[in-house]
Amino acid sequence: MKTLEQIRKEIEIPLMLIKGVTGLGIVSNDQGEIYLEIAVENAEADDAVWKYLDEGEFSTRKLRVVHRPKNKLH
Amino acid sequence: MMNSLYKAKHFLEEAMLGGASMNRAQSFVNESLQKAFSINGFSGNSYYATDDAIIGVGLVGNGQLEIAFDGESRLFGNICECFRNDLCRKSGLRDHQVLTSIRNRAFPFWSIKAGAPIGHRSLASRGEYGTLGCFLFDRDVANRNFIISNNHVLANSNQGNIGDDLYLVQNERPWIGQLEDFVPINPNGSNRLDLAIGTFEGNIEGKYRAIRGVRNAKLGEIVTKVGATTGMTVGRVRSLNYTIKVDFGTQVVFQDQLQIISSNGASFSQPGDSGSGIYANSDGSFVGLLFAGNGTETNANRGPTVAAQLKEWGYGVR
Repeated sequence: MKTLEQIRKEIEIPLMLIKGVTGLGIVSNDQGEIYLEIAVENAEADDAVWKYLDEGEFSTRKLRVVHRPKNKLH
Repeated sequence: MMNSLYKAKHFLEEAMLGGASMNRAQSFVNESLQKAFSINGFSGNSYYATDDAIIGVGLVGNGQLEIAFDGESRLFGNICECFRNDLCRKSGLRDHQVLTSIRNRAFPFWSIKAGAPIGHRSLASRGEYGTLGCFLFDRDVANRNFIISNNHVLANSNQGNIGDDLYLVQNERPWIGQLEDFVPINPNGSNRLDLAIGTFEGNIEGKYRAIRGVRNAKLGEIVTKVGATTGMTVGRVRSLNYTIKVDFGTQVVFQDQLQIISSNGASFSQPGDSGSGIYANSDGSFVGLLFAGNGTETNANRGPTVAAQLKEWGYGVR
């Protein structure tokens, strides 16, 4: 069983090469849940991410794909 | 009623004058302002002096008492209102008899504090700005000071040259120093820092001065920053190792970044806050350097990575 950190390291570069993927990382939400989040800009990127995850058997309940706007310089 | 105005004026003057030990007026001002900070979501704040927040008091107009505060207008708007209510309750004055104003005394004397709007000459000429994160002091040369912010603020995203002029971005746009060094942004590879430093000539104000203590942030911990656009905001660290693409004209990848989310629903940062130092509420340690965001989450370089680069440049931080 791979840890979230192992999965993160394994998928980081391939996913960041997908157009529309804006980020990924292990996050903690307000309730203290810890999961691996992948941020995408649009539905096309969402589909491409899930295709990659399914093919690589990376799917886990602790992995979420969320839609976020582009990161801009502040 | 005029007597009450004079009494209130003398009371606040007593707070301003202070003394060897805290007087009754100082205690009132401190308690009232701390309560106002807390009501406005800045609980646990220890970075702003309170008893020296009032920089002027006088009778003006048609029997009104004016109190001038030194502070960021975005932050102090609500703070002033809370303080005025307390003062009216205490002194028996009515709301319309007490005026408050915010006068950042730093600007007329080219003095600045961390959180000020600054930028490379190209940004300043367009009225754009980032934030002065904090100061560095040269241990060997007296009065040789530096400021820390982002590459994209002080070096115009790799376009600037060492020695380029830096400005405080406000109406008169005074010159404050020169670009000293920066970490180039690599558009085709991975980055960990959006960092630059500049020389600084002028007076320094405020309590957020130099970095005192650097450490890694902890997942879920509460942090604070003071930015030029949104002032002081409080957030929660939601990730310690986020990888992001950031729009520098082209999409640039940053690895091992902190990600922070506001703890009260409002945005932790907005454009113009880049360069802000991010500090742990628990102990005041420097944990990050703000540089990007998406409207919901804010991204920051990790504090120890920033400190390591400063050390490599020859500037030690404690």
